[in-house]
Amino acid sequence: MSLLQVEDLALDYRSHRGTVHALDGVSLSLAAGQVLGLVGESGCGKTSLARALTGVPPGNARITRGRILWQGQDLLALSEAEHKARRWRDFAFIPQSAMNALDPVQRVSAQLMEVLRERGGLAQAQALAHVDELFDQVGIDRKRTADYPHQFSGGMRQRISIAMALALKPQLLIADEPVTALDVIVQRQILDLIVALRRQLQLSMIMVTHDVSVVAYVCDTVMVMYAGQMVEQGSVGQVLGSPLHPYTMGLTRAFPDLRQDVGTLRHIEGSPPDLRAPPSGCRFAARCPFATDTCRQSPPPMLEVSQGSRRVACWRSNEAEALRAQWSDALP
Amino acid sequence: MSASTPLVQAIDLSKRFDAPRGLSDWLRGHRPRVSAAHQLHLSIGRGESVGLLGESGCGKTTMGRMLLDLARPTSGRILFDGQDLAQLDAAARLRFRQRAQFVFQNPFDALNPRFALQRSLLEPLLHTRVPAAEHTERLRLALQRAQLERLGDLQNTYPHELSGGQLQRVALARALILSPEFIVADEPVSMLDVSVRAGILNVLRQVQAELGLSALYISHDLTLVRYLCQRTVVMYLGVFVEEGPTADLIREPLHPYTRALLQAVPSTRVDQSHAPIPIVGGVPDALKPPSGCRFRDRCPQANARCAEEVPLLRNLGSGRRVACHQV
Amino acid sequence: MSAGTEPSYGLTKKILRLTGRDPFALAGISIYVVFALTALLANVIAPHDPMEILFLPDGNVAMNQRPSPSYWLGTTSLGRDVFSQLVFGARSALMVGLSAALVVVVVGTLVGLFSGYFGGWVDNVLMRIGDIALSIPFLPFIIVLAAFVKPNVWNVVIGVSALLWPNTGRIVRSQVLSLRERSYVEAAKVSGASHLNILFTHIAPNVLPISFLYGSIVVGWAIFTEASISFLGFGPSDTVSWGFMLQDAFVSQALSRGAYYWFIPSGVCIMLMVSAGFFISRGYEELLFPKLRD
Repeated sequence: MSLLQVEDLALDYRSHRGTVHALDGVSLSLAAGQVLGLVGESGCGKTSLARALTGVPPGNARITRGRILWQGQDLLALSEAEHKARRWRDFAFIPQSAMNALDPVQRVSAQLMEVLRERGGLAQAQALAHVDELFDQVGIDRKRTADYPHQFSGGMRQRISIAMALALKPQLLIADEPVTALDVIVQRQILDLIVALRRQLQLSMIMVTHDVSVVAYVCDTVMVMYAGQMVEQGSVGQVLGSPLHPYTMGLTRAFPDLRQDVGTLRHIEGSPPDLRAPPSGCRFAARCPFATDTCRQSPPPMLEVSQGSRRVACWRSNEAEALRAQWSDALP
Repeated sequence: MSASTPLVQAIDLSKRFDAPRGLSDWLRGHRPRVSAAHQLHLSIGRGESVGLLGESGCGKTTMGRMLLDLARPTSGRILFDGQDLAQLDAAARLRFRQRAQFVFQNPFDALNPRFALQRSLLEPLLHTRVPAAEHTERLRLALQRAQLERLGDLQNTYPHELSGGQLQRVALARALILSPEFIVADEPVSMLDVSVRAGILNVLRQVQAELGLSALYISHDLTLVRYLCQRTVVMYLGVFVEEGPTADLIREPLHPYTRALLQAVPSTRVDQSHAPIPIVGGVPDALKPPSGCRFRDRCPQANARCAEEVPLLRNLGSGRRVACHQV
Repeated sequence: MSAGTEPSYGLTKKILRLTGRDPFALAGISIYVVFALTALLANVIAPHDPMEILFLPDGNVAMNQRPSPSYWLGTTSLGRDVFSQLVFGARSALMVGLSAALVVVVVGTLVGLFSGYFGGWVDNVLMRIGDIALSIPFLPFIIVLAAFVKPNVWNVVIGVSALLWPNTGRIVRSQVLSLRERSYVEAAKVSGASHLNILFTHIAPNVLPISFLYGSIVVGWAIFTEASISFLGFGPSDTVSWGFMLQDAFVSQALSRGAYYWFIPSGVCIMLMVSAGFFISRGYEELLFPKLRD
């Protein structure tokens, strides 16, 4: 039984400017000990998906269909109290800009203690010892537990956010853009920390990011999202190495590799569609260099490839190899 | 003007910021200061693109702003086409503004949200008193260069309707509308999604080639610097640690900091190395940098000499310079 | 990487939207609107001239009449119609309130703009002058002012504005301090814009909605101040204002005679106007006191 299974999830945001269909039928499954990357550009729905999983979607969000099964149990059918019992303990969420969300007027140790005592029910002495352990685990000097958040650098605050998420030893960690705001060296250090923690604690993880290289560094499997839908899913090696969907091809080619020749970058023109009125056919058709009339008229079905280990939603996925070769020529 | 005279020259440039003084500082007669730039020399030739590479807090943005007279140095001089920026009178300053422009880091903040795009784009023409007859043509050219021809009704479109990538192109068009000779771009793509960056980088590269611009690209991103810059200067805590032709720098980094930066850059390859990078800890407190070499407390090769003596930027030939005792 | 900035041009739209949704905002605006209409249509609404001494059918002065169909709120001890006084009092109140608000907005905004933008000694001097204005005790100032200057409406307006502008000045200044750092302001500098140009084309429009909001709070406060002045007897005696009514009633010992109809209405009106100011500040709280953004 997989640890987490999402079936046909759909989520809307209601704003005074109209209803945004942020997620439209997304499915995924995560096995224990696996690290899944959710990758896509801003607005593709990856953060909405991550927040839906934690049961704390923003106020104006409504889940309109689908199920989220945690160890077989439908999270959406639970009451708030039952859901709350699972948060922090079974799965933990590190939101975007978590490092800026630490309470500036509370010492860091106090904030960690709050999680340990309120949610974990630990006694004072136990909790204090645990705080020290957590600091060790994320690589911060134990002597600094009594400091305030502003006394730490961005990278260290992110480590503290990770420590908070791991406080009650959850099985699943969901991190939303964990290294986006950080400099190159700190980014690498945090990613190395995440990789090490994953090994030590046998964590399962979901990493939400717009940066394909982060996925390549940390994740086992990856799901590429576009305009509220999944376009491709599979192991990192397969999806990044030999992408089947034109959007994935664009993502990987748009990323200049330092170790290879400079060449010319190929970028994808245009912007994602307005999710208040998404197009009826394939949502990527307007920007796809290989789009046909079929693509523009009918939404592509989700196909299983390679004995079910990969999935892709593209009418021309069987021509992927040829399309990959053409990618550079097909663009302006 | 001789073609070999550099267009932009920074000579012995230093910038110190005063940090707020606490009571104990005041009692001791101590003035806490951050040295954002320390005795820096930089020259940019005509048509040359230079990269200023470093992480947050190293002082690179301060440097860029000083070169455009948005901030005054504490000591040292900046020469633009031979003229000292600090000595310009009002008319000369206006002419300088026509020739040197800036592209900001945050595309969402670079345009006044209350102004329609056209108004923001034409603003530089109004300030520098370009005759109205030229406006239409200049606007068309600028939009073409920023690859924004399909944007449509400029008079009725507002910044909040555009994506980050489009906004940055509009900002670029605005910078180009005066046909400048020199642009400074401060982290031009760091706030954009990775998938959008390629588009902007391509536009910058093309504009540079077509117009023969001199440019300074400030970034922490090695891939950007490699894509756009002929020469790169690496900066750490207010000092230059290495300089050289970009390709050489990347192929054979000499300074330990440059080496760490290179190794830290991720790639999309699945089989990339997870080996720890040769650097420890985080950037030290800017108010109290280490004695001697500012990088020594994070350097895997530091020795006693590094703590006592400040390494100077030495010329190694073929345009390469390094500030390290062990190279 | 979605848009992180709050466009302040949306401020006007936000103000309108909050008016619709927030009960406090709606209450505050409604009160102002009702009184504004009353003031404008005073001639139509009021049955009598407020200063006119009225006579009963039998020829006697209609003094101290209790409320009746002919005198809705009764009459004063001199035979004047209380209701008419109340209605015309609204006119005088609004004149004072709006004039004072206008002066405060103009002075406060200009001071805030220059202070915040230029900093340095300009900031120091202007803020210190503001401090002095804030530290002057209200009542003694009014008394001293009344001793030197002939009590009329405009002197009241000047006196009130002189004491109230620093708060607006400070708020505008802090807005300007943050707006000054925006990239588009620097971009204007790089494009060759002069300081004054930047100040009035880029910064001022983003600050004006806040100024006006503060101005509307000042309206209520100015009215209260004027009422206090009049009540103490330092106000103009030729115009009818609510403060004047209160003083008149007090001097005529209305309380001991149980003439509630005389002094309660004017007191209530003053209270409503001041409350409107508070309701507005409460209703538009998220605009006036924006929470710290990350």
